[in-house]
Amino acid sequence: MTDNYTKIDQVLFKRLDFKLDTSFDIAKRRTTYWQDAWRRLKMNKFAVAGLIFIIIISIAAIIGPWLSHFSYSDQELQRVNEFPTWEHPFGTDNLGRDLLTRVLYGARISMSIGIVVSFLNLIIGVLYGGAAGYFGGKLDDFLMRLIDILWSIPSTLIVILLMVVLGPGLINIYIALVLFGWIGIARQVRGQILALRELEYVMAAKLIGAGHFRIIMRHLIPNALGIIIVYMTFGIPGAIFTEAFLSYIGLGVSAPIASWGTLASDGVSSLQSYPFQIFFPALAISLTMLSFNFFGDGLRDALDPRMRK
Amino acid sequence: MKTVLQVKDLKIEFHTYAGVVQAVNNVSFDLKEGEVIGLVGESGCGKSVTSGSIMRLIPMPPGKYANGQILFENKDIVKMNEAELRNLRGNKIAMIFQDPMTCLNPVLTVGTQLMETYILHQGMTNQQAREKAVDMLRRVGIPAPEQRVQQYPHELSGGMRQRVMIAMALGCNPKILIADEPTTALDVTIQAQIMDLIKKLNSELNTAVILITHDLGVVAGMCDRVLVMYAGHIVESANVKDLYAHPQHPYTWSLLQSIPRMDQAKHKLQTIAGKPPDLLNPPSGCGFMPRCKFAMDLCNKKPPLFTVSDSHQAACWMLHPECPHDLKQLFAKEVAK
Amino acid sequence: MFKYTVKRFFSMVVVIWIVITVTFLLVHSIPGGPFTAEKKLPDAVLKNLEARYHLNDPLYVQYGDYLKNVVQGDFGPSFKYEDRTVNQIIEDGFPVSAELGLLSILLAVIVGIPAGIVCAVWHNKFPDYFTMFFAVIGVSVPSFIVAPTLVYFFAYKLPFFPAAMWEGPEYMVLPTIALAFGPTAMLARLTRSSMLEILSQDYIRTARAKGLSRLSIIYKHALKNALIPIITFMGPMIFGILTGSFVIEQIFAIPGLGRYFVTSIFNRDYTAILGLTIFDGCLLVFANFIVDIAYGLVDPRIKVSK
Repeated sequence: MTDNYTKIDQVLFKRLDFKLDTSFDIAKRRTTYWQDAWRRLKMNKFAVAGLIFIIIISIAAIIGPWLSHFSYSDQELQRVNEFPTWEHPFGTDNLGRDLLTRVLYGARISMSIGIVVSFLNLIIGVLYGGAAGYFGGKLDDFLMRLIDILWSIPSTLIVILLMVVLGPGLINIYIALVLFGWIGIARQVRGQILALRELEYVMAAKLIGAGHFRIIMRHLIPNALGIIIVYMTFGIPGAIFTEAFLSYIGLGVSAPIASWGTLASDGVSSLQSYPFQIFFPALAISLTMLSFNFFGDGLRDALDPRMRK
Repeated sequence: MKTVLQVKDLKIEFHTYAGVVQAVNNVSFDLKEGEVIGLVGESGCGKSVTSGSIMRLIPMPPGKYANGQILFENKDIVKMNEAELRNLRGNKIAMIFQDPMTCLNPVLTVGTQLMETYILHQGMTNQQAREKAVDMLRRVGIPAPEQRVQQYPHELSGGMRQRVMIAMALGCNPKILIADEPTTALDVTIQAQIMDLIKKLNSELNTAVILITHDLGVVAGMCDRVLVMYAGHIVESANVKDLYAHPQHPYTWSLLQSIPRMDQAKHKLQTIAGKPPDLLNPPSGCGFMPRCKFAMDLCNKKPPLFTVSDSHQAACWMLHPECPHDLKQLFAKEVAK
Repeated sequence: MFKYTVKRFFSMVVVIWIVITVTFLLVHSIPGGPFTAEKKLPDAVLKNLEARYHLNDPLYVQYGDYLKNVVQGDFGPSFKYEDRTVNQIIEDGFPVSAELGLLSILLAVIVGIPAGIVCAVWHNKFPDYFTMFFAVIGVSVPSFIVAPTLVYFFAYKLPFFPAAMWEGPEYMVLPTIALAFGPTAMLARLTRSSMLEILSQDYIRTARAKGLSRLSIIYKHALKNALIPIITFMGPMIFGILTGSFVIEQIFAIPGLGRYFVTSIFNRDYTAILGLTIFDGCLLVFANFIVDIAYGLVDPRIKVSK
């Protein structure tokens, strides 16, 4: 490359007349955090499939029982334990009740438990964790000591005991599941807020005189939204799971109301002769859990800022 | 002097969802025995990728060697197999990194981490390796090395840990030491000590050093030769003295301008306006053009490396023999100021 | 480390005390007290109860007595089985449950951890996708569905194993798999993410730059670090195994503590529930204590910081 320079037209040596600019600043196409997360979520096929199934099961839970010719409690004692037919696609149970209707109705119960419980947990957890993280100091020490104690108590045992004391029923399940359910999210929110609180822009907001409310609403909550959303997608199946477990050991909703847990529990006893009675409720629980887990995993990966490039 | 490492037309790409990032483009340089060269540039200019690629430490994928060779002892590192690479890494070419806080394994003692290199590459027994570890720690200036080998990294200060890293790197008498911003994470007073240590070991062991830094002040004290990188390209390569006295590329000149100076009472710190280009969509011409005071029409075309002298090259159209004299003089005048 | 252990020990004692107190108060808050039942109690049992609990004493006296008894290892009588005490139930059931639980933990560890490592090493390749697909199924499907499925296929359709009871090694296969299913999957997922996190650390790059082989990087440098968060998961895992055993023992008719517990719930045998809850609770809190100590031993950083 030393001496054989190509001839260059002198015109090209003309100096460019422009201000030293920063035009490259806008050259980089910037996507927002949420656009980015949504794009990554869409790439995850399992997560999308999970989301679609969650939507389907939610719609089925809402309108399914209306469309059915049967009610969840109608007994037809001359038609007990019928194998699946066109009339009863999921068969009938040992009291001659239509299993499809019961599974759909169970979806309603189970999904509503999942949503109500995880929503209540979320509210309590965000308030508690937010207060501890934002105000810090002695309050934080106290609240966290309390959480440490609650955390080390074997919660499921206390929940079981509580259900024994309160007796079966939907409201009692809400109470029992919320009692310890909020601790996890409270801890996460506190950790997140604690980290965010130290960031410069929050300091800056404080310096220009923004109030607590404004700082919490404008700066802290939006940034903690990622973990909150991920919590919801794992909290709902978690609550469904625990309710199913309680129903299974005889502490869930009271008959004739059925949740997926009670249906599975009923089905086990006739496993050898009428396996379809457990098959359909089991399928419903498993697919719903699977969907939430796939969706939750995808969402967590999509929202993880460390993945961002 | 013998050439120990030859990098030829190296081109490294990263394949991301958004497109191909051309992190390193057409980079060529030689490293001679016992020489210290500085690789200088802003963050993201490709200097760490270049140095990492010499050890094949770039994660692949997304990274990819798109072109070029890295010749070491007549072999192309790019084409080496796992076994050859393992024999190279830590043995013939060693590396120290930016943050000594995170570069040592927290659950293994300092001694274990030192010894494993010696056992692996020099076939030492446990006992020999332990003695060597103590000896090396003493050489890098760690007091009471007999106790230190039994400690865990978190029990050592940052400067100490970087000394441990150096002891680890130099234990097998490597031909080349790559130091990737070895002092960025350390206190200023410690920085000087670490640099002195590297310099001392360089002259004692005759190890060639590639020093990656964005601190031209450090380069002046340490290096024989400097490579200035910008947007994945080497834009200027020169001996330290020439580079400081007669920078030929406007970017180098701007970099020199932005060194804080203690010798002038009222000196306003210069910055370089603008940002380096996005390597996802690299400009077809000179990457520095939008930030360059001397930009011309021609700069829309990529400049080749022009030879200024035997040891001095720069990629700027102003070095073209047909470039108008007044522009060259304008630049020379600015530099002289 | 000694200070850390002592501190942990005291917090364990406090938590156990809280568990005892809460369970005692909960059971005593049942309308009419824990000793009423739908059915009339046999006189002999009632006498026995009154003699033991001084039912006419104020609550705090009863509480003090109960606490004293529990500390001495006496969990009181069962009021459904006239001739048995809770202690006898524990003596009968605990060895069986412990056997089932330990087998399941063992299975979960020897399958879950290597599976997670495989996933991390072949990250985003076929073994990873393959294993993780099953792991998601593992964490999604509740044990009370896994167990009937296993019974249906491997006891009814293909009569390889007995469907119930606990009378020899062949009886142990299905319950152990059913109980270990979820924890194995959880462990695999946790090991994977922990390993991935560690493998992206700077010190792994250092190890690579030293010329260590892939295998020794994973064994020597990554695994020990990756196991630290896995040890903290052991507490919740033992917890999950224990509550899982309630269901599994019920399904497989295994005469363990879990089955007695569920039976007591169905029978509303409050004294048995109270005793078993406290026993299980103490067991879990103690297991957590052991896990914490193990954590302190593995992570050298904890010795100074705590």
